Amino acid sequence: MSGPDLKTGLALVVEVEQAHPMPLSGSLRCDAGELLALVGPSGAGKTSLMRVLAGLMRPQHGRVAVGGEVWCDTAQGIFWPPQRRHVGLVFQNYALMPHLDASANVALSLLHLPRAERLKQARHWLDHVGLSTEQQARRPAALSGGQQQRVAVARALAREPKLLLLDEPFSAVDQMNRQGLYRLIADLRRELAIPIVLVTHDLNEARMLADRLVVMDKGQVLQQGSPAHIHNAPRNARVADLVGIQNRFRGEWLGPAAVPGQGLLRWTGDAATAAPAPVLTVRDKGKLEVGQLLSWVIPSDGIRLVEATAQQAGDFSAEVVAARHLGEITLATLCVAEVPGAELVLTLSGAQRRDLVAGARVAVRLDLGLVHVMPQRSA
Amino acid sequence: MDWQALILSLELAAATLLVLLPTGLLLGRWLARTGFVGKPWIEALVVLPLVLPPTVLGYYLLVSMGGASPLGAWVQQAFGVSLTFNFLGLLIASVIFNVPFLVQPVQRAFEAIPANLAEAAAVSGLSAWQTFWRIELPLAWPGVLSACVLTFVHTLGEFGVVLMVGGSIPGETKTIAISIYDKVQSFDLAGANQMALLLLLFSLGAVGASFFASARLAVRR
Amino acid sequence: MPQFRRRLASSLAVVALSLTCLLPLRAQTPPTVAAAADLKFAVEEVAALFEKQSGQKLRLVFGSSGNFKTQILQGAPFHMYMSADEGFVYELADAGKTEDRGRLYAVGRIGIMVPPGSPLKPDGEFKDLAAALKDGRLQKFAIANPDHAPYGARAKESLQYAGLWNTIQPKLVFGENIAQTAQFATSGSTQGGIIALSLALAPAVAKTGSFQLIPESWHQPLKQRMVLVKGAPPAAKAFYEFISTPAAQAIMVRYGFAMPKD
Repeated sequence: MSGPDLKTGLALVVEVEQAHPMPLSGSLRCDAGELLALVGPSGAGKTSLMRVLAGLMRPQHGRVAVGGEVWCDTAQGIFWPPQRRHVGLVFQNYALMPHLDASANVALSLLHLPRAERLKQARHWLDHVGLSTEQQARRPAALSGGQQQRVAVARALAREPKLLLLDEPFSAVDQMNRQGLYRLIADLRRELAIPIVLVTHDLNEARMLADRLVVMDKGQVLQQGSPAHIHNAPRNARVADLVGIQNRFRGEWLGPAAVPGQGLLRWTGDAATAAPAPVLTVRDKGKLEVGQLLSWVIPSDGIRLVEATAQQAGDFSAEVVAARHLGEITLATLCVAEVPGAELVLTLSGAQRRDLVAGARVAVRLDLGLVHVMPQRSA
Repeated sequence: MDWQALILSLELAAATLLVLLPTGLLLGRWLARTGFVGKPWIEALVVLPLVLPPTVLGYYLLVSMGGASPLGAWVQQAFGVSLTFNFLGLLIASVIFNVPFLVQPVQRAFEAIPANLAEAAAVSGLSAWQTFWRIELPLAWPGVLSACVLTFVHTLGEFGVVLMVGGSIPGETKTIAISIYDKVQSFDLAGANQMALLLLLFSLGAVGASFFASARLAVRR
Repeated sequence: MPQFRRRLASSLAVVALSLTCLLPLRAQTPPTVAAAADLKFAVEEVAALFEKQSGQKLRLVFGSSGNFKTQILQGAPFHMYMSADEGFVYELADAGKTEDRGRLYAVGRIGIMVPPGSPLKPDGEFKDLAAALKDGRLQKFAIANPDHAPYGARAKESLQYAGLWNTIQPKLVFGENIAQTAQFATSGSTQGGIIALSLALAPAVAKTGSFQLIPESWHQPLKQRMVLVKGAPPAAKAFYEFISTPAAQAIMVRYGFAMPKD
C-alpha cells in the first residue's frame, strides 16, 4: 500500500477489499485530467465501487486517497463523510430535487456562500453547461432528460470537486443526444485538472472516451490499462469476453521455437483430425510451461480474408457459415477447416462484403504477431 | 353549547400536536430510512394504539401513572402534580394514543422520497440537518400536513381514553366528546345535537381541506 | 424553498401564541364535587343556590358512585364525594382517603319508567312486567349496572324480590350510571326500565315517560352518604355543610329524596 501520490499530487488511488455486504476487491488509480471508465456487466460492483469513492458506502477494508487527501483508510479508522470530501457525483437518474428549480438545485452545492453570491455562481455553472436563463428557472419536471443531466453536472461542478464521478451517463440518453454528451465530457476532461471516473456497461463509449479502462466482474477488478492494451492483451478469457473480443481459441503450449523470443502454440479444436493440429509461431513471454493448456486471442486487425485462389502456406481454409448484413456492416462467421469447432467472427464493411455468402470458401491469413496468449484458468 | 368543553378540546388537540410533532417527525423519518431486524416490532408498537380499545390503554395508563402507582406517587411527591384526572394526564394519554395517526402518514411521506435525493444532498455538501430541513421536509410536507390535521381532529373526538383517565371534570378534562355524552345523559338532546353537529362539520371541513391542500401541493411538484 | 419555511415558522408562532392566550382558563381550581348520577338535577339546583349565596363557584361531576370510588382511590382530584351508597364511603374512609366517615344526606327511591307508546304499563309492583315477560311484549329492559351503580343494585334486588330476576336477565340493558339508564329507558330503544325517583321528577325527564314507585320494602334502602376527601379546601367544606341546611334540603325533598332522621 503506497502513501499519497506526491508526484502528481492530484491522483486518485483506491484499494478495496470486502466480502460483506457484497464482495468487492481490487485497486485502481487515475491521474489528474485522466478519464477512467469502470466497465463490466450489471452486478459487477461498478456502482458499489463508485459509492465507496463518493463516501456513500464504507468498505470493510479499503483506502481512498484523492489529490493527496486520504478520504478513507479503514486500517487507520479514517472515513470522511461525503460532505467533507469534495466529490462531484452525477447520478444515473440525476437525483435532482423536484421542488427546486435548476438554479436552486445547483445552489445546493454552494451553501457555504452568502445567498446573492450563491445564485450568481449557480447561474455561472448553468451557463457553462449550456442552459438558457429561462431554463434555469424551471423545475426538473419541466426540463428534458438531457437538460436535467446538465443541471446535475452543473451541481457536481459547482462543488469544485477533486474527483468527478459519472454513473452510467449514457443509459438514459438516446442516440441523437449522445453527441452532445460526448462533447460535454470531452470538454470537462480538458478543463478540469482532476480525475474523472465514469461507470458504464457500454464498452464502445468507454473505449471512445476513456484514457484508462478498468474491467470488473463479480466485484473483482480483473484488469486495468488503456483500452487498446486491454483489447490487445486481455489478462484472461473472462476479460476477453467482457471487452467483446470474439475470436478466442484454445491451444497448447509446445515450448520455445527456433527463433529466440518466439514459442510454438498448437491450435486445438474440438475433435481429433486426420492431419495434426496446426502450430503457430507466436511471441514467447517466458511465462508458460510445455504442455500447458491455454486460451489465445487475436484482434480483428490481425485477421485478413484472402481469395481462396490466393491461399499461401500458413493460411487457413475457411468456409462462411453465416453472413448477417446489418446496413453498413456485415457480421460474418467462418469455420476453419484445419481446426474443428474453431469459428472466426468478423465485422466487415466495404466492397469485400459482396463475396461473403453462406458457403463461400475463403482463405484466412493471421498476423501472428498480434496473437495474445492467456493461461487457461477459470475466469 | 358547552364552550368550556370546546375550548378545552381545542387546547388538548393543539397541545398534543405540539408535543407529538417533533418526536413524530423524527421517528417517522427514522423508520422510513432504517431497515434493521427488529423494525417490524417497532412499527407494530406504533400502530398498537390504533388497534387497542381505548379502555386497554386507559387501564394501563391508570395503573402506571395513577396516584396509587410508583410513578404517579413519585411525581406527586417531587413536583406536586398528579398524572391523572387533569389536563396533563389527558395530554400524556392523548400523545400516546395519537402516535399512529401522526407517525404512520409521516413515515409514508418520507418513504416516498427517493433515497438518492438524500445521497445527492450529502454529496453536495449538505449536513444531515440541512438535508432534512431543505430537502426532505418540504418534499414530505403534504403527508406531514395531513398527519397533523388527522391528529388534531382525532384528538378533538377522543372519548374512551379521556373517559378512563380524565374523570370528566369540567374545565379540566371534560372534553367536547365527553360533554356530548353527558348532555345526552342529562336529557339535553338539543345541546348534544348542537355540539355533535359542530364537531362533525369541523372534522369534515378540516380533513377535506387538508386532502385538498395535499393534492394541490403534490401537483405543483 | 424559503417561502415554505417562512410559512411554517409563522404557523407555528400562531399556534403557540393562541395556546398562551388560553392558559388563564386553568388558573384557579374551584372545589370539585363528584356526585352520584341520580343527583344530577337536584344538586345542580342546590349548587346554583350555594353559588348565588356565597359567590363561590363549584365544579360538579356526575357519574356512577362506584366509578368515583375507584377514581378517588386512584388519587382523582375530587374534593367532595356524594355517593348513592354508604358502603363506598366507608371503603374510602377505611382506605384513609377521607376526612371522616361522612354524613347521611338523603334517602332515595327507585321506580319503573316506561316511555309513551311502550307496551308496558308503569306498574311499580311488576305485575304487568311479569305478564309482559310471559307473553313476549318485553324485549329490552334498562337498569343501572348493579356492579358499581347503587341504583342498579337496588333494581336487581327488587326484581329478585319479585321473583323475576332470572327470567328478565337475558332482556336487560345496563346503563353506566342511573342517568344513562334513564336515557335508555325513555329513548324508545327499550320498553322501559328502573330509574331514580329524583330523575323522574326532573322536568326534563318527567315529560319523557310515565313513572311509578317500587315499594321501599322490596330492596335495601338507598341511603346516600357524602364525605369530604382528605385535604379538601374550605370552599368544599362550606358546600358540605350547606347541603344540610333547610334551604338545600327543601330542594332535595322536591326531587323526591327523604331526609335522614338525625
